[in-house]
This record gives sequence, structure tokens and C-alpha cells, in this order.
Amino acid sequence: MAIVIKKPNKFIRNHMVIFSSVILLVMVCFSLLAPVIAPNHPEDVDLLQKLQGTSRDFPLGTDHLGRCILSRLIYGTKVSVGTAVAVMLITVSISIVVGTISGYKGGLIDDMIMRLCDMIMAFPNLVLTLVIIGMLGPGLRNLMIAMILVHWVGYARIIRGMVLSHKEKNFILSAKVSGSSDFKIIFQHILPNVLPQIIVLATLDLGSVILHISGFSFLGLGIRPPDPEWGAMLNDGRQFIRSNPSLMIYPGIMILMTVVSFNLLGDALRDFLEEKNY
Amino acid sequence: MKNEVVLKTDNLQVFLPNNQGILRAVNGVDLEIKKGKILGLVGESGCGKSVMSLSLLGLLKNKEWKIEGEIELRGKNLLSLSKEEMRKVRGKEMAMIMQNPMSVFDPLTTIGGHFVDTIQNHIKITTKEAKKIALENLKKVSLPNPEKIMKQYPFQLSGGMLQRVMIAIAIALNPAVLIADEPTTAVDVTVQHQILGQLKKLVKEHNTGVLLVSHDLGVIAQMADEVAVMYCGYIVEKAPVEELFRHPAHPYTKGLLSSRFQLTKRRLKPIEGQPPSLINLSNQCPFLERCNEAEEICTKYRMDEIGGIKNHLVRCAKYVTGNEVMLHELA
Repeated sequence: MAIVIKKPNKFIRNHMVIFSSVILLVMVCFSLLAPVIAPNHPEDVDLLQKLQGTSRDFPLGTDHLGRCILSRLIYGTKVSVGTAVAVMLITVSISIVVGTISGYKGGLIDDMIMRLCDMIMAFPNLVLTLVIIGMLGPGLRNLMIAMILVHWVGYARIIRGMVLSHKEKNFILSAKVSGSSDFKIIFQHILPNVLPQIIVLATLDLGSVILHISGFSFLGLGIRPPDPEWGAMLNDGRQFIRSNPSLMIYPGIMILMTVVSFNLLGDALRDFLEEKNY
Repeated sequence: MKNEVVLKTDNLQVFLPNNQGILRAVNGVDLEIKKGKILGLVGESGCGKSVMSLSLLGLLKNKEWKIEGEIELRGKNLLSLSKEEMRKVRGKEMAMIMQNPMSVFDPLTTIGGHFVDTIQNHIKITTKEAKKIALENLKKVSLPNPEKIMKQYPFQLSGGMLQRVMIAIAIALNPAVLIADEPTTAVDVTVQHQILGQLKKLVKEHNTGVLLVSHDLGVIAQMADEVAVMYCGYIVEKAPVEELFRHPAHPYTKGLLSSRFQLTKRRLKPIEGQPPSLINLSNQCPFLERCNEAEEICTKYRMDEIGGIKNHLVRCAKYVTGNEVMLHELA
């Protein structure tokens, strides 16, 4: 009767949770306390010090304009991680609402929402984002709006599909038999079964959102050049990949760490939410 | 008082119009479920048993399925109720025990949570009080260690235990009618015996009217007070349980009884053939092609008229009023 819960896995996972939590906590500190932590101002240009190696003044060296890489990384956390998380949260919230309504209600509402999704999905993401930014004008806020407008569609589709498949399950029928209202069925039985998968999906996608923001920043549509941002730093360092690879390596490591920690945390969160599933 | 009717269907018809015609799943069913009595409903797969029990609870999608006739629960016409009113009926006045216990529990909700859900859907009480009621009901189905079970998740219990939990949940709010849709098909025979015993005891204690849907004649014989045999959406024969098993009148019922496993016989005698498609039934008796008592009149009989005597009704051309010989046989 009592089933033994896999212990070794749980042990390892706990370590992973600690590891990723620490990294994300450091990220939060970076973005909140950047002026205190950073050794230099991120936008101080000193061409005499360009492309320096590690030194006491510049712990990670300087870039091609003599700016402190560490300081730029620290200041860039807020923009890179913060923006990506915000975009993801808003995207997922919108698509949960839309996808659940669409999947659960069905009928005409479903058809209308899904046709709208089809219309948006008919265009390549990149082109559509560019068009929306073109209409709104460049800038970080407009970039975020554009990305949300383009990204919610895919999530809404996936969530609708999951809601549809759960809606037909026996335990939903039995909830109906016991007299649960639609509201209760959605919040108590459907969403808890759908959310864990969405969380994983969202954390996996977070990396690509960071890279997207970087990409648009590179095109001059998001962050404007002097402001520090990981993706922009990565792009700046591209020219020096042979002579000074550290210009690319450091921002790359930051992006990697962020994505990995979000994934691990997402995994652990899903296991926690779905632990009862066998 | 003893024979008070709690749920009554009057000429209940359920059909599904589709592009090939109309699929008639339930045809003119008149049933009465009495307080504290168990009405058994037998029939082979696909004869409309499950559709009928879902239609009683108002759970068929009304965009697709059409329901006609009357369903009356303690004087209330269920078909005229709004969606919200119907929701209040489900679980409180009419509960259901479903077939497959492993899949009817939400894997992310504890057993206690399922109880609390059901109770709080209908009564405004705190979770703590609801849990108390739940515990009392769990004790009634004699599961060991109910406190622990309350905190467990569905996958931690066996099918038989879950089935008992389901009975406990169904009975928790003391419903007037309980629909048990093949409650023991998913459990093995010994567990089946225990569960049925408990169900019967609880039903008598709470004075609940039960519609017991099954394809297992043994279960029906053990449990039911009255039996209705369903074929192609028609109730072909309805009689008190002893009467039906001793003197089956309809050829279909006779066929069912003789295809039952018995120790004295070497070979089972199945009913030959397949039931006809429920879409666009022809003008003859739906059982005609499988019937070994078929006669000339059967080709013009569509199971519209009911024959038989007061408490033993038969939908067969030979028993329709006027045929003195056959009626005599029944009496």
C-alpha cells in the first residue's frame, strides 16, 4: 500500500535546489545592489585601459572601450534577468487565462481565440516582433510589450491543449458528479495538473528570452549601447573572440548560469508540485 | 412511506443526432427508484446503461445529446432546472459511484481533499468540520486507519480501497439517490463481495434509493430488489428480482440467464449475433434476429408497447396485452 518514495533522487534534487537558489539569490543581489557591489562605474570609458586582463582595479579585465567587465556584468543583471523574468511571467499569466478559457469553454470563444492565434503564428516571431517595435518605437519597455504580444500565442495553444486533455479525464467527471462548480474544477483540479508542465516549459524558454532580448538590443531596438546588458556585451565581444575571448566568455557564463539555475529550480518545483503523481 | 418513490423517469429518451442519422441510446424508459430499495439495471455493453445514468445526473453535453421525457427527483423536474440548480443537486441529492476507481480521483488531491471538496460544494462549513464528517464516513466503509488514509494520495491506495472511499464520499451527504455505475467491475471477486456487502448495508441504513448498473447478473441477484433488463436502449423486462430470475419472460432475459456460468452445465449457451446499430433502428423488433422464439408478429413490433402484468413488465410482441396465453404464463 505505502509506496516508497525514491530517496536518492530527492537528496540530489535538494542539492540542486540549493545550488540554483544561491545563484539566483546572487542575481537578485546584483540587480538590487549593483552600485554597492560593482568596483567601477559600468559606463566609464578609458581607452588607455582597453582589453586589459585581470587586475586589482578590474577583476575580470576591461573591454574594447576600457570599461570594467565585472561592473558591466553586475549592472547588466537587472536588465537581462529582470526583463526576461518579467516578460516570461506576463506571457505565462496571459496565456494561462486565455488558454484555460479557450480550452474549458470551447465552442465559439475557443474558435475565435484559436483563429487569432493562428493569425499571429502565421508570421515568423522575429518579423512580427520587429513590426510591433517598429510601430511602438524602440526602447526596452516597447521591446517587452512586443515580445509578450508575440510569445503568449504559443503558450496559450499549449495550455489549451493540456486543459482539453484534462477536461475529459474521469476525475473531472467525478468532480462534476460531486457538484463542483466550473470555477472550482478549473482552480482545484485542472490548473494544478497543468501548471507544473508550464513551469518547466517557461524556465526552459527563459534562456531563449534572454538571448532574444540581447539580439534585439544588438539591433538597437532594446537597450541602447552605453547601458550594460549581457547579450549586448556578448555581441560586442564577438570581434575579439580570438585575441580576447574573455569578453565573450564572462557574459556567456552568466547567461548559462542563469538559464541552468532557472531550469533546475523549475524542475525541482515541478517535482514538488507533482510529487504525488507516482 | 416505505415505498416512497425518490427518482422517477417518465418516457425518458436520450438521443444523439449525427450526420448518419439519429443514435437513439435510451428509448422510452420508465423507471422508479424507491427509498431504501436497489433497482438493478442489466444489459450488455453499449445498450445505453451508462448514457442513461449520465443523463439522470445531467452530465451529458447538451450541445450534442438531446433528452426528452421527464426525470423527477422528489417531485422536482430535473430537466427544467438551470445549470446552477442542477449542480446543487449533484453530489447532494444524487450521487454517483463510477466504474474505474483508479482514474476518478485527482492525482494531486488527497483523499481528505476529495471529501472536503464534495462536502464544501454543498454545505458552508469549515474545512476542519468537513474533515470530521469525512472521517466518520470513512469509518463506515471499514477501512483500516482512516486518519492516515485522509492524508494519502489516490495512488497510495489500492483499487478496492479507492472504490470504498468513493462509496464513502458518495454517501457522505446522505443523498436520496445513488447511481452505481458498475461499481465492482474493476476489482477482484473477493473485494467485490465485501464492497457490495458494505454498499448494501449503507444503503439500507441511510434509506437511499439506488440504481445499480451492471452487466453481472450475479451482482444483481445478490443486491437488487427489482431488476430492469435493458436492450438497445429499451427496458425489455422489469420485475422483482426473484420473479425475474425464476420466471424470465422476455427471450433476451432468458438468453442472458442461460448464458450465465453454472456449475451443472458443461457449456455456456451464448446469445448468438450482435445487437443492431442504435442508429436508425428498423421497423422490426431490435432483438428479432437473435431471438429463438421469433414469430411473424415480431416483424411489425418495434418495442413501443409494453406487455405483461402489474409488476412484471415485458416488452415483447408475445406478451403485449391481448395475448391471454402468455399473460397466463406470467401470472
